[in-house]
Amino acid sequence: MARTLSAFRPVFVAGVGLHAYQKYSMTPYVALGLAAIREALADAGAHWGDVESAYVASALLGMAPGRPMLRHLGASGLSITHVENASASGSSAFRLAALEVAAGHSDLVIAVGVDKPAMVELGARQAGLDMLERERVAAFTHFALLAQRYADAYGATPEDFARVAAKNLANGARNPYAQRREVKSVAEILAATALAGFLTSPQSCPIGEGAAAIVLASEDGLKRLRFERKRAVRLLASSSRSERLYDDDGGFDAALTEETVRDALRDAAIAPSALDVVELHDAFSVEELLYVERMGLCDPGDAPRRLKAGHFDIGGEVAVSASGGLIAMGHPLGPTGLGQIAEITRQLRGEAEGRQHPGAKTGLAHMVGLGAVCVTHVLQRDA
Amino acid sequence: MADAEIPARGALISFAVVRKHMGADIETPFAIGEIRLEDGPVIRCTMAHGLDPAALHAGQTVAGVLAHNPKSGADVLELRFAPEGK
Repeated sequence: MARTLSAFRPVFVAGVGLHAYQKYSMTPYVALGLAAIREALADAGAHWGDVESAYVASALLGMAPGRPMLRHLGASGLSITHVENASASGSSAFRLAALEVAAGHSDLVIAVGVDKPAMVELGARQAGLDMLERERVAAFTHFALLAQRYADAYGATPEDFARVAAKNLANGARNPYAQRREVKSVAEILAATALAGFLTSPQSCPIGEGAAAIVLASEDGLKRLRFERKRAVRLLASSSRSERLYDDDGGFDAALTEETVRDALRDAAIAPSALDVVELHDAFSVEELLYVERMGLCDPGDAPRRLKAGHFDIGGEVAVSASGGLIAMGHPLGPTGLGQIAEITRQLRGEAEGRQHPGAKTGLAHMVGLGAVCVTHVLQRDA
Repeated sequence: MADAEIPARGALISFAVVRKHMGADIETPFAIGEIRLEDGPVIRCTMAHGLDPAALHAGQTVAGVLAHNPKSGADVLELRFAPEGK
């Protein structure tokens, strides 16, 4: 039988770093990536020469962007692996880095996500099988169709969807790394540019540029760094799945989320109610309502009421997307999943200045990627 | 893989009026419907009469119609779906 992460060596997050997510600029990706890496190395108290292996996540850059960036830190000869898994690229880079540490192959590994907006061809378009109306169903229309189904099932209103964006924009305004740092009321969100169905532009994530880096360590790695143990965050579980055929009116994104999160929580031996902070794939507002329910944070159909009552606020029962989520922090693709790990690490250490969820001990990161794929991690404060 | 002919008739599962569109192939607004065909597959298709969301509701029977698209030539017909009997 396959073994879970807990059967291998403990894996810790030792260092996190980000370059703020922002609109496209003339800054080369190399400068974005290096800023995040240097912040993560400093946070871990590590030197570049300590790092044995690097996983570089990007979805929009050209082939092999890793070494042209990493060579500025020193041509140390470390292992470099590129990871592309659509929106979940950063999450998958983190997972592979964690498995390498867990397996005992390396003691200090870095996962880096970096991207800049660019047009790339999708594999599905090259697959030789066309889809009816592919061009007419943009991502926001896919999620508008899900929002309509959700509204039909539970009586959700346009305000219920807009309230997700209002919360996440308010959180993002407190996060110096967020692309959108502007608070908006529910009325302002509803009055913004209409995209499709219930969804308006503030309910859709911005695709910008940025970078995120995470230094992962084994116990030996932490010792080598003389790392202050109470700041180490332990990775309890990692799960990764892809879409099956579902007989599910909630849509495949929600069904896949349910399975993947269930696996991660089972492997971590954690109940959903034990989660203090959750970073999830809120590329569109409706996703947060669907996913918190499927993760078991509340009953089906109850997310709008809980959201309105402040249940998912910083300081509420469980802080959902304290970073601002994809809607406010932004979604530069390669970095996004690693940015979630950085936010959860800061929250669990009590270092999320200006947006700290009190007493955060356990966190979950969740990304969905085109395909669809889903990657989930559970982290816990070690002390 | 082999071609299979299936009837253009099914139940509307969901719909969305699209107000922003990158392509030049159709004018906004237009509506996209999600339809479970009677033979099983779920498809997404442009609706022929979908601009009044009050006219659409989940569960209603919809059927394929051929419609002219002002953005295409006069001799081009597009498959669209409409509530049955309209």
